Parts: sequence; structure tokens; C-alpha cells
Amino acid sequence: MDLMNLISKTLIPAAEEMTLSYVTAVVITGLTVVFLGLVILILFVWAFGKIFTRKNSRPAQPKPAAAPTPKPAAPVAAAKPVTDDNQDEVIAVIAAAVAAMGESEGKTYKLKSVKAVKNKPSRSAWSLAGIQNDTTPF
Amino acid sequence: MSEVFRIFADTIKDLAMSSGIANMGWKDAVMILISFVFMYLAIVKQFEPLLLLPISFGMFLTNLPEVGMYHPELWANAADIDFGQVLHEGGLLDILYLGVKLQIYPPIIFLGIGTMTDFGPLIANPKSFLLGAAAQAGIFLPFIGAAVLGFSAAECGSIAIIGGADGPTAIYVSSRLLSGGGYKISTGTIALAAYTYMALVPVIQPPIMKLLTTKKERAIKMPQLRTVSKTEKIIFPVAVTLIVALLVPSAAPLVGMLMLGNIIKESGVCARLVDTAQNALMNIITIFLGVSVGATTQADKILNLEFAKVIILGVIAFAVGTACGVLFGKLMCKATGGKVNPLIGSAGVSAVPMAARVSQKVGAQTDPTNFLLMNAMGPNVAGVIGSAVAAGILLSII
Repeated sequence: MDLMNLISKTLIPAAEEMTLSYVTAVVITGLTVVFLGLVILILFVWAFGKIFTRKNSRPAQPKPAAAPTPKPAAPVAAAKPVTDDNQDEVIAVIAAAVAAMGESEGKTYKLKSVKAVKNKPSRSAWSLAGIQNDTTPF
Repeated sequence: MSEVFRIFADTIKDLAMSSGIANMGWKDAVMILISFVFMYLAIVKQFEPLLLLPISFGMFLTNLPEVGMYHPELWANAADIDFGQVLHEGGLLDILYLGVKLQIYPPIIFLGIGTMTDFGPLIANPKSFLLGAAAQAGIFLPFIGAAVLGFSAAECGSIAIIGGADGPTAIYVSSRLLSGGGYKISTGTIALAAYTYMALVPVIQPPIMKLLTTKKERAIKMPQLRTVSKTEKIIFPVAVTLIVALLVPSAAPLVGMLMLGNIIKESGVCARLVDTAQNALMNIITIFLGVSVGATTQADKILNLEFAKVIILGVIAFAVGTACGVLFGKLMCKATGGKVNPLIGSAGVSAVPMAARVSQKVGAQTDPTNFLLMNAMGPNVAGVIGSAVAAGILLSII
């Protein structure tokens, strides 16, 4: 298993001469062994990653039938979905926020139009703002 | 009265003759000025100040004439160092330098780094190891350049390791390879070049990254990484140590200590040890390492053509490492049908976390909603393991 002992026995005697073949051998050997070592690590990490992912995604064992639960109380009214009805209010809130920011800088803004973004972003606006906030210091 | 005056005059004369001013040569003065430049870079430009400042101050102390804090003659016959003589006759910096000479400080620094490293991104995306390996071309290809410029095998290996972008590894390798004495360069020379270039990663890398990638490639968004379980994070350091130590035994001191630090962090049961390793111990060793490595930078090792060659080869090594990482990233991009952003390849040089930050920054310049930081941390920490393995290989074959 000690690959390096074998390689070093071959290469060390040539080191004093620094021939082209020695230098080339060092470069090729070095890159090959680094890749070999890291590929072994990839295979290992990939394999135990698979095992753990499968273990975590395995469905939970069905629980034994529980005693009948009392009927829940009357359902709570669902939260009101964001529809066109309250879009004007959202725009008003955003416009007010922009106006407040502008006021502190001594500027005034005029709201001309509000357009929906064509390409849906990969993350929600809140998530994007959070990541932006976290990565800006870097 | 005249007798008193004569004794007074003789004493003053003796004091003047033994003072630093009388014994300062032009080379000492130049070296002191160079140390001021490095202090300026560390304090004002904040180039890796934690290490560059102690190194530059060590350089300043060692070049002050007649101070006697470091004696290069004690280390000249490196094959047969009389450690008893070092302890009896050595100055403060000689004693501290024992930690470098006996290869104690770099592995302890690795222990501290281990307690600060999260291998989660690498475990979640193990393909990152390939990018960490590709960037190690920055170690092996400059070996050819150093050989062409007439350096010996040990010097070539010491110069080449600068491309690993890892200060403790560079010091570890060069202190072992250059232990035979009679070399034109020193560990201090290598450390200075390595830390200066590590600080310049945000300047050196972006032009190469932009040159080798298209705007479309830079805008590729990578998926969020899966959550890695605690058990995986605990198994990882044991497995890496086992595999690397069996394959390249000479890399074991660095990789072993890195993984020891990591397992005490991930175990979650050694909070006190983690706190000490990543704060008090790390800080003490950083000061000792920096000041004693700086002490080896004496005029005869710096004011020569060889140092200029090391500086040139060092920047080539960094550029080659970055370019190979990005090119391998492009290859992975093609192989995966455009799922890998090649910019994360440059993070394969192990300057942690600077190189990953550069990937994030260059990606965000193309598309501000592109967040590559976590994806780049995988190749970045793989680069630390890769450069430690490469160091082991250099030590084995040279």
C-alpha cells in the first residue's frame, strides 16, 4: 500500500543530476498520485454519502394505530392569499418604503409603473435578500 | 582626573565600536528597509497581517547588527545540528526556530485550521476533490521552471510548493527539503513569497478567471448543496487520514493534525479543546512561526538573483494553479452539461477562504444573484488536503 516508498526508491537516485527525465518524472508522478489519492477519497465520500442519503430518505415506519383523537375544533380560517385585490396595498407599502429611503438622502422618487419579472428567480425575494446580506462581507 | 577621563573615553570608544551603528553594513540597512516595506504591506494594505507582520518583524530583528538573536552558523551544518549548542549559545530566535526546524509549528497550525474548517461542502459535493487536485498543477508545473533556472531538486521542490497557496505547508516542506545546508534560498525566502502571493490572491486570480471563461459560463448558477449529517462529518476526518496516510505516509503529519482538529470540532464534545486550538494555541504558534521564519531572511538569502527568481516563479505557480483549476472546471462544466460553474475551479488553490471569496466575487460581478461561495468552499478545502498530499509526495521523491 505504501506507494510512495516504491516511487521514491526509483526517483531519489536521479535527483542529484536534475535531468529532463527526472524533472518530467517528478511532475507526472506528483500529479498522478495527487489525482489518485483524491479520486479514492471521492469514491469513499460518494459511497458513504449515498448510504447516509438513503438512510435519511427512508420513509418512517408506520406508527401503530393511535387511539381515535377527538374531533378538532372548527377549522381556523385560512390566511388570505395574495391576490390582485391587495396588490395595490403592497405597491403602496413598497412605494412608501422607497419614499422614506429617498427622504433620508434628500431625494424624491416618482413611481411610473410596476411590472412583474418575466423569469422567475430561483429563490424567493426574502431568501435572495438574506443570502445577499450574508455574502456581501465577502 | 586624567585617568578617569581616559577610562571614560575608552569605554565610550568600545561601546561605539561594538554598537550596531558601527557594525551596520549596507546589506543590513537594505534588509531593514525591506522589512519596513513588508510591515507596511501587513499593516496598511493588510496583506495576511497575522503572519506577514511577525515575519517582517523577525526579518527586522535578525538584520540588526550585533543583536545576536539568531545565529545562522548554528544551523549551517544542517545534516548534523548540535541542538545542545543551540540551547546553550543560541539567541531567542534560535530557540524559537527549533519549532520550524523540527517541523513542529506547521502541523500545529494545521490542527488550528482543522478546528476552523467545515468540510460539509466537500462531503456534499465530493467531485470538488477533482478541482482541488487540478489546482495542484500549480505545484508541479513550476517545478520544471525552477529546474530550468538552475535550482537543485530540493530548491525546486521548495519553490514549487509556493503554488499550493498554503503557508504552513510551504514552510513545512521547505524546512525539510532545505535542511541539508548550502542552498541559495531559505525557508524564510519561501515563506515571504508564499504569504505575499496568498495576500495577492484577489489581485492575481480574477484576470485569469475572466480570461479563461465566457460570460455565459460565469453566470451558471449551481444548485444548493445537500445538508451533511453530523455522522458523515465525524467519519470524514478519520477516513481521509487513513487513506492519505496509507497512500502518502509523509503527508500524515499535516493531514493527520488537520483532521485531528476537525474531528475535535465535529465531535461536539471537546468545546474547550476547540476553543484553545483555534484561538490561544493558534495565535501563540503563529507568532513563534512568523518571527522565527522571518529571522532566517538574512541579506545573503534575499539580496541576490535567486530571490528574484523565487518571486517570479512564485507568481507563475499561483497563476498556473488558478488556470488549471478553472480549465478543469470548464471540463467538468462540459461533462455535466453546464451544471458546474468553472469559476469554482480557481478555489482549488488552498488559500482558505480567500480563493472561495474570489470565486464568489467574480461570479457576482457577472450576475449579482449568483451565489457560488458555498460551492467554491468544496474545492477550497479539497485544495488544503490536495496541497498536503502534494507536499508529502515532494518530500518522498526528492
